[in-house]
Amino acid sequence: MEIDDAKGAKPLRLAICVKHVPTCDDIEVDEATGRIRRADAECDINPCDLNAMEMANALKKSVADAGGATIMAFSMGPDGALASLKKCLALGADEAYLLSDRKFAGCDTLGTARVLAHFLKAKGPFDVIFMGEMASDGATGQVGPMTAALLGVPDVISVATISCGERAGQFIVEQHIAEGVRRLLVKSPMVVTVPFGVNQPKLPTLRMQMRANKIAIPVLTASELSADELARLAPKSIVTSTRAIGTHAQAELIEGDAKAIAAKIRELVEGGRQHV
Amino acid sequence: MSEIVVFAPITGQGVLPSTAEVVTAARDICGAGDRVIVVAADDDVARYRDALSFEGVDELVLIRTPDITGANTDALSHAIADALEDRDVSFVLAPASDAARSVMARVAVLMDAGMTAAVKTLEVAGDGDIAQLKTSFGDQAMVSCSLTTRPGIVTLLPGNYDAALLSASGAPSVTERVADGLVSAVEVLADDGGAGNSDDEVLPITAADYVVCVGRGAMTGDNFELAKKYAAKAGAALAGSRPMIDNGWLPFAAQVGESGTVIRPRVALILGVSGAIQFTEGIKGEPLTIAVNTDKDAGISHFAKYLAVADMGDVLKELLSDV
Amino acid sequence: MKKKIGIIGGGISGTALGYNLSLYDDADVTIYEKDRIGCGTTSKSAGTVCLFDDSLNNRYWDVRLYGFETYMKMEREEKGSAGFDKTGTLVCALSEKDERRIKTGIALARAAGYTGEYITDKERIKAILPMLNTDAIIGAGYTKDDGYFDGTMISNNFAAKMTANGGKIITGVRVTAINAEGGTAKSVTTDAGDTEAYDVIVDCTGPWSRFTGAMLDLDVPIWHTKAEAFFLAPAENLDYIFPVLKFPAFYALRAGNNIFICKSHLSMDLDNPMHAGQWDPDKLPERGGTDDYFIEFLYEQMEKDVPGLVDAGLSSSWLSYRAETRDFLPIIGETPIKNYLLATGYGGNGVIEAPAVSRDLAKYIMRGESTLLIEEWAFSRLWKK
Repeated sequence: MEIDDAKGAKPLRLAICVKHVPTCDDIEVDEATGRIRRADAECDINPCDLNAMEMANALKKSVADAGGATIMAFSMGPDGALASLKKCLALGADEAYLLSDRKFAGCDTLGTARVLAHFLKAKGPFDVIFMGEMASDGATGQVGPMTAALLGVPDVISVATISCGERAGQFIVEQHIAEGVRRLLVKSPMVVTVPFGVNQPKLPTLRMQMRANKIAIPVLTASELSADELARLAPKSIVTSTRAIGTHAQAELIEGDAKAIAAKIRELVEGGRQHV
Repeated sequence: MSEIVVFAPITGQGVLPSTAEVVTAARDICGAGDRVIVVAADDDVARYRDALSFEGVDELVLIRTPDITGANTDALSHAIADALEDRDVSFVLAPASDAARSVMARVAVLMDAGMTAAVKTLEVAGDGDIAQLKTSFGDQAMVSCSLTTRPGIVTLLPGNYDAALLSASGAPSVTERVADGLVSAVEVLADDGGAGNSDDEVLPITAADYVVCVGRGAMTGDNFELAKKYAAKAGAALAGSRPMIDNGWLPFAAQVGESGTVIRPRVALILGVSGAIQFTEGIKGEPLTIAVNTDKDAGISHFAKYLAVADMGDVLKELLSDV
Repeated sequence: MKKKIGIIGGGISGTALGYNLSLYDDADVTIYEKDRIGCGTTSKSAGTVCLFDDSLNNRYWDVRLYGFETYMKMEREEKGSAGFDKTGTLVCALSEKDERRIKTGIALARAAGYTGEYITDKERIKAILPMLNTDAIIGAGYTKDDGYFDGTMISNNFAAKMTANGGKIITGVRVTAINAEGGTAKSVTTDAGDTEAYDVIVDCTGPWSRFTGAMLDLDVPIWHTKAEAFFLAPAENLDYIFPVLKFPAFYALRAGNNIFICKSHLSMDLDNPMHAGQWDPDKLPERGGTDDYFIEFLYEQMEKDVPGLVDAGLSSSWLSYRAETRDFLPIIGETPIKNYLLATGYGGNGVIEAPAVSRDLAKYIMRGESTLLIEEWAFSRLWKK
């Protein structure tokens, strides 16, 4: 990659990958197929994807006077995911692409990463590829690092901030680790994954939402993948059964006097805070 | 006969403690003739030899990776995949922790292996397959997964297996390797455990893992002061329902609900809030919800997972007293 | 012997009626609510009860005043219990017809002892709401005395008062059948498997009324108009009190530091499929669900009239179904089925109208005495057409 010493002489090319996830409190499992009835569920953009979008916008803003940046948004999923892409456009993405095909439907995380990697390569190169830390429905956090490995680039997870380094092609990345914060110098291209809550995502404005409604979102399909690539999408981690866990229509009562209640609350809070 | 590999991540604080639980999980699915191997890689890996000598492990593979540590997952994953390449590995197990997440995902790509992450338990199925049981959709569904490749990669959540003990008789058979010539695009500038929020900063309600939400019930007596004190002590953010903001007890930034802010904590303690939909719409992401209310039929009883019918002041006083 | 009344629906309609009935010592009242009190279409009401706006014809001024004063009394009993935010109201006139209506409203408000004035000085209008563009406005009515309430809080308040008087509320249970014999409604069956006999059964289910009526083969002529609402977060915190703002096509009010904005209900066309239809409210998402066309509508209106909100953030949105009749007035009282009554079709005006209607309907149920309101808003007016 051509590296230019003058910072930001070339516009930065940023990408963001988002997921359209169910937001409803009650899910339904189809007893015949053992699958979640996704079509019935209310969906929205995965929450921490908005933090990733905010970080991409902040980086774009930081180079506004030094070459600028463009942001391209990608989402793999059925048509409903257009809503999440539209949200990216309303938040400042310049272009958006829906990666949608029945042949993508059964993908596991590795298959999803392969599809993303293919189209990121086709539309790239990108300096930084942003993703949310993990999806609220799957909660595995694998797709980011897998996509990076497929592209042969580094990934940094749990990213708190990213800024341009001294030289073009270098970025300073702050990463949350168990012990605190780790400061890294990372050569681009790279994938960064952004956890919920590290920044305060801005809201789309009425004006930006109007603009977003007028931008066409192309749909890219499996026809752009080779037969060999398609064969590799077969899932390797297969869900063999799903059952819904009864949700609570009525709260479970904590019995006893104030002392006993406090003890139970302490125990619940401690357990709940550790749960990832 | 095959090998079950446990990947032991090395962090700034040494061997990740939950690795010991993964060793137990590996022992559990180990069939006759199978071997359990622990694999670790670090610039200074020999240091951790004793800490990695678990009971019931057949072999310890220590990979020295000059200048490469936990931050360099791009290089580290190559070192692991290379070490496993010539072995007959059925499963690679690792703790479902940030310290292993990127490395394991990258190893899956390098070995073209299937991966199931954030698994609770493993179960030997009738046909000898190893089923991975995990929750999905924010704990709303339980799924059973199967991996079609060997090796298959599985990361395990902590808290579901007992920790394996360190071996009294010292290290099992140790294989040492050196992974030379690794190149990483990542350079660690500072590993500063101390950086972070200073204590006097007000924790924003959107970033907190634990949020204490107060409602109209907090307007009585010294309930509000007690809630404030408790939130500070517990490291929680203090939030309120609309009446608390309308009446000037808390700033608008602390208002949970659809006209205020949507929060996604891990735990929410909801004190003296009636639980109107305008409030409950502001709590998302399936946190553990615990309500304290004097009215057992309050709307919140249909929203919270747990409800204590009590005076919030009494409960807060108990929470503030040391055990 | 007490008169047993079963009310279906625990929104503003059902709880206000339940409370008014519970004031008669020979009434035995039960409310069935399938979810939580005040959580359906009531929770999506902006709760504006303004002294003079176009939401309800001045013919029914007393209904408006009675509603307003009922909630002000609630607030006096316990501050905040009706969710009152005293922001005042600015009603903008775009035509001479608007102007005449606003001036009438001001006269009526002043007759009741409230303040109000009609302002034509655009500088003065802008002083009240600086982010306004006054070009299209010929004048505006303004009062400091009113504002908006909270329909959910009010419903819960009515419900609590009713239970204190001995009334019963059954939540989390869905009515699955209304049983009639020989043209007379007799009992109610729920999905909990219980059947309970009643002397009178009242449908207070608003947008669900077509489905409720269908249980008795009764065609309740309710249309759903789409009420698409947004919470906007202004780019900067406002250093003035944003009043309830009424334009003929939309209205806005403050919600904390945010601004709530919604299309006005009288601007809806029941025959335009983008505005209205007949749907199943249970299939409606609780929040979200707005169409792109509403963004365009809002953008155009804001750019023209309230430019200060064009760059406000879109915080959240919802789509609500208002239950409207063809004349935009509710259906109150008797139906062709004996002992089966309606208190539904309030449209966008449930919070305004429920107190006066419930007062009159409770008296009608308990004593058989009708009122002008019960007569004018009777179901029978819609049969003739």
